[in-house]
Amino acid sequence: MADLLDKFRSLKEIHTNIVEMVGRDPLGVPFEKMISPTEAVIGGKNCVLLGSNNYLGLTFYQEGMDAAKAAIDKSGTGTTGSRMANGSYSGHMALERKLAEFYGKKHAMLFTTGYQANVGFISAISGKDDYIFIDADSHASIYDGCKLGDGTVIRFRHNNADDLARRLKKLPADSNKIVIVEGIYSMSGDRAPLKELVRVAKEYNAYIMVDEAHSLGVLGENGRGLLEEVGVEDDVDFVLGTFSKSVGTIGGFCVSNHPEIETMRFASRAYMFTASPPPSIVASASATLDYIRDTPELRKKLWANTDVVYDSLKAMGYKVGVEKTPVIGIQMPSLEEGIRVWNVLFDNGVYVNMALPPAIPMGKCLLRCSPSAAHTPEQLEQVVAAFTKAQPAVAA
Amino acid sequence: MAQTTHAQIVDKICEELKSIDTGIKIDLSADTNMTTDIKVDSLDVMELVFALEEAFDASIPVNDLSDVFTIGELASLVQKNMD
Ligand SMILES: Cc1ncc(COP(=O)(O)O)c(C=O)c1O
Repeated sequence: MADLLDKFRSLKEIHTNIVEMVGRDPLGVPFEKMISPTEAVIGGKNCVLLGSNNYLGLTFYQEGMDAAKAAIDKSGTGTTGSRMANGSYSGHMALERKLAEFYGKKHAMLFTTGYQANVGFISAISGKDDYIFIDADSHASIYDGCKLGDGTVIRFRHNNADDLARRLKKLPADSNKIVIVEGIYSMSGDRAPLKELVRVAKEYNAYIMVDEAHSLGVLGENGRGLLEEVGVEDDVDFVLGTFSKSVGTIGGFCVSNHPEIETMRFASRAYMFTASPPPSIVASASATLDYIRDTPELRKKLWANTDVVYDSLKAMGYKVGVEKTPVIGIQMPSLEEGIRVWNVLFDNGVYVNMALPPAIPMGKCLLRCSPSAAHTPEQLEQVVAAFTKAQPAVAA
Repeated sequence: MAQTTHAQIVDKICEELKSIDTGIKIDLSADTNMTTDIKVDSLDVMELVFALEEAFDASIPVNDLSDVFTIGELASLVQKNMD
């Protein structure tokens, strides 16, 4: 009998090789202490965090923390089961009403994480005769939701509305179809061309769902994401999102005007067979969501900081994405070069994410940066200085 | 397009695969296993499928790709999804 986990061998080889090349494990960096939303003690020294999706810097938002503490005192540390079994706490229902109101939709449904929202929603709506159209660059949770559903999954070229139309055209006009896209893509940082995608979806009578994981609180006057920015809020059927990024806590959701969303509570296994979010999480998400809605200055700051980071990187010759957003993916010409730059940044007190194969093509490396509204001018100076130091071999 | 033969699709797949450098150079045929013989990774497969879909105006369900291992099997899948 072979070892059951032999299938991990090639992954392990890749990882071991990378740890050896870097001199430490870039995929498991121990954070000894959090100092602020944008600073931590790593390896005994203070580092600026430039890779944490903490777009608005609200993990230390005082009212969010106070609300979480008060909720623990009032309702305990957990729900110990799903809402089907253990009931809905008043906080769950109030947060769902708040989300529905925030988006101007009739229904909202909470999930325990954004991953589960995608998996739970997509697998539940994907019936045997249905067609699910996904962008090629979709997040793993969208792919996994597709795998668990019974429908036919068709992948179209990233952000390519013409390719989507070509494929939709081939299907029977009366079949059920849904197009699934993201507000801002998590690696490349580009927005979906939502106006065109909505037009194509409507032309072929397809539903459309947008995952606003990286765009909630980031895009739109009131933070309602790409839908608000583009002005298609009435045309998109389902919005999914997460509290794990701009909202600074954890949890997922779906909002829609479709009346059968309420029935999804009995159809979505990732909702039914996992514990509901604990009271403290619900309370902090609720308090922070209010703050996000009422504080457009946060977005102004985030975008001003994004200007600084993106523009500096571009001027230095780093290969950043074509669109300027707070998701800044820097393409490295090789794995070796990516590791070298990551190490120089790290040695100069700047932490960014390293994305490696098999998530991206073999031999490549992507350094993923996410500016935050909470980065101070001094921290940004340190970031720019570190990238300047790392620069020469990039141009070479 | 309706006249496209299995052999023509196999030829096109071989041509596309030649542009992917996996470090393994062997003669390609309908029986070549793309994963074990020439170590094409999942992102390469995605690009390959896009190229074939465009060349033959096909749209191939992702669900069916997991049953495909050889160049010949992929050609059959393309053929099935042309219209
Ligand atoms: C596009 C997208 N959707 C969903 C998720 C999952 O979010 P969560 O962290 O809440 O599980 C992520 C986060 O990685 C994401 O990038």
